[in-house]
Amino acid sequence: MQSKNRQIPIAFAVLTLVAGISIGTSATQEDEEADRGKKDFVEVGCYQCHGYQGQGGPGGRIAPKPLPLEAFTRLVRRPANVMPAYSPKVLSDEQLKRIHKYLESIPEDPEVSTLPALSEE
Amino acid sequence: MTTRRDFLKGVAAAGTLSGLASKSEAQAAQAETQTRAAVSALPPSSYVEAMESDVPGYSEAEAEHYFVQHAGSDFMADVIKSLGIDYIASNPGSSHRGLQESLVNYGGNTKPEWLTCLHEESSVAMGHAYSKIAYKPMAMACHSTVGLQHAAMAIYNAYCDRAPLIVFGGNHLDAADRRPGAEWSHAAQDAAKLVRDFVKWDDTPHSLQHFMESTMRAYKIATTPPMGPVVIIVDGHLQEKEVEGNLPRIPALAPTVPPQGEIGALREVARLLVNAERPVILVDRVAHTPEGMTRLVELAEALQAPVVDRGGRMNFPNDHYLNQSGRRGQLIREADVILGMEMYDFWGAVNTMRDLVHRESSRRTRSDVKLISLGVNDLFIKANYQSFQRYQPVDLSIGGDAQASLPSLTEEVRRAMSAGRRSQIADREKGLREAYGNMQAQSRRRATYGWNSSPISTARLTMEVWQQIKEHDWSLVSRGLGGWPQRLWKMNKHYHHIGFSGGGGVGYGLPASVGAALANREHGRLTVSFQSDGDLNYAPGVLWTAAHHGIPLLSVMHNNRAYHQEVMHLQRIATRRQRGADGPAKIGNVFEDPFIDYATLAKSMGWWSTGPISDPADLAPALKRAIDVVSQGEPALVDVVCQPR
Repeated sequence: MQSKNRQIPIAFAVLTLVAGISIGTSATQEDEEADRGKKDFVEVGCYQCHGYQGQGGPGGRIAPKPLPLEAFTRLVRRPANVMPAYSPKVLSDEQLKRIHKYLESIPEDPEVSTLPALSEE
Repeated sequence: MTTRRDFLKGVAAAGTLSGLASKSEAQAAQAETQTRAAVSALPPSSYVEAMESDVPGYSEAEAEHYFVQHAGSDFMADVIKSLGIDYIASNPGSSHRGLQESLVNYGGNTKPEWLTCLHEESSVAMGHAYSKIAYKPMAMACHSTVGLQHAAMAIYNAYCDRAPLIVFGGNHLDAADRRPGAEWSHAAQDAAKLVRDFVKWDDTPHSLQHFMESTMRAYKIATTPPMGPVVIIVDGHLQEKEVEGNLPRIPALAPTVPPQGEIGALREVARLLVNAERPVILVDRVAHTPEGMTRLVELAEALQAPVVDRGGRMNFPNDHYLNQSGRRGQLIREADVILGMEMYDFWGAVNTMRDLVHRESSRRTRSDVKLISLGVNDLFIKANYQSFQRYQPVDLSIGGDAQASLPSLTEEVRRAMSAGRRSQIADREKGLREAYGNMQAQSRRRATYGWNSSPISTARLTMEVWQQIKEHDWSLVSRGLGGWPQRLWKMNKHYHHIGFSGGGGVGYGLPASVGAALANREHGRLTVSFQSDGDLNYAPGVLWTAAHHGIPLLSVMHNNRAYHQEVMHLQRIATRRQRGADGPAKIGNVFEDPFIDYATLAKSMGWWSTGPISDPADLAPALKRAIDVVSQGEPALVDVVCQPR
């Protein structure tokens, strides 16, 4: 029993370490993807209409909460309004995924109430 | 022929600058003292004082050979002065040197004052915007063929924007009198032909009488709605040669009363509007003056009808709950009656056409909507340039100046409204106020998007500027950044916004801002302009004009380092063809490698300047310093690196 009891914290510690490493690696990969997505976002010209932060302009706001990836992809491939259609020839699915990651990584904008310039009547 | 002595006696007798050429004319003038006083009420200039003594050392015959005693352009100056024109903007040229000399020396360089411009396009654009603040035209002098070619694009903008301008163009008509060389390449059989397609009227006078009559006529034509530019070609020889015979009397100017819509038709409009459940008032270039705003508010309130302001002029205060421009899509879709007034593009307001390979259009309106057009566009149209936009069939079309027609229309609306109907209409107010509040809240929420981003968001820049100017008596004289000022600032005075270029000819923004600032100067207003970089690059010399003439202007740059509209266009085409992305879209369209240093450029022209600023936190202190400079009567430029749109 004693030896078995001793093994539990050791096993827990090992699991925690492994999980920690695993989580840490995943976060880094996601950051890298988002960084690459940011480059893609600029290189394929999304910023032209949607702004560097996806905040919108002539095109709509697409960050920080973009449409789910599937819907996002469908919209980019077959846009409904004035946006030009981006075929896989000029924008791959991989790039789209990375761009989506980038848009998800953009922090929330401040609330109106926290900005005196906008909250004053 | 009039002699020098006769002329001097005439001047002495009349004691004015009215261009008297003979004793008999002087006597006639004495009988017209009142009229003449209005024409030439200024004290004698140094020119006149000099003419009050003979030229020593010359016989009368020699003096008549060498000297011009009374030049034709002196009389031209009197005519121009009689019109109450305050400024004449010009890049110099020998074909109008006679007129220039007369206005500067004989006329004392006042009313009009000669403004030194470094490009004719700048002269014209200055006058274009000036007229929208001063409510009267400025004059320009263009140097013959070449000067008028430089001026042409800006004249086109003014034509599209229905802005009055008086353009004088030099020329040498008589081939026998032309010096070899430049006077030939700078002469034309029909100089005004170059711009005839996009001016309201032009003429080429052959005598001083003809000049007087045509200039008076030109002024009336330019300032009668639909307003527009006019051109008078001024022959060089006519300017410079000795006046022969008596000069014509300059009559007082009687401005033309603008045409009003026919009363029976206005009555029918009133009936339709009063009976409508969802009326919408669409406006574009309605308010020539503050009176137009007041009258439009009266109409909208009488009907409790939302107003969608397309922004060609400052038509309707944006702090009024009936200004629902931000809801235009929904309002147009749901409307049962739409009254479009002075619409530059009525078709475009009620239809859509997407920018696809196959151009397909669709209507935005209900199929049973009643469309009414009121304005002067149908009263004046030319064939070649297509700025009149696509033909829009309407149910009722009324030719008449909308501003002039508004009092009668509102009166007819009130008459057509029974007490019961008035009560029903009044019930709309609550819902419209609520919708207005939601629209405003949505605009503020949208302004937060990308608030802390760098490059700086256009909404953030708009509000940083607002924080600094809101306590001043300000005037925004440029296109706003993505329409943010119209959504977020309190705009309720006519000079808070002056519309756009009209023709979309890039290069209007900077000189127009200087011209509008000149008109604002006498009122002590803080003139503010959002200056795009692509526009500034066309003719930056007007920066110097502003500094030289002490024209205070706060120019805040929307610097996206590109002709960004064109970047988007090229991207669209490349994407449509499935090749290329942002890199190729930049070729030919961006200002990189090196970036242009606008602050240094402005500084070199005598402006206070700072930038480029790309951190939003740096904006407030920079703007404060710039406004301090502008308050001292000088121009200041803040270069801000912004999001593309």
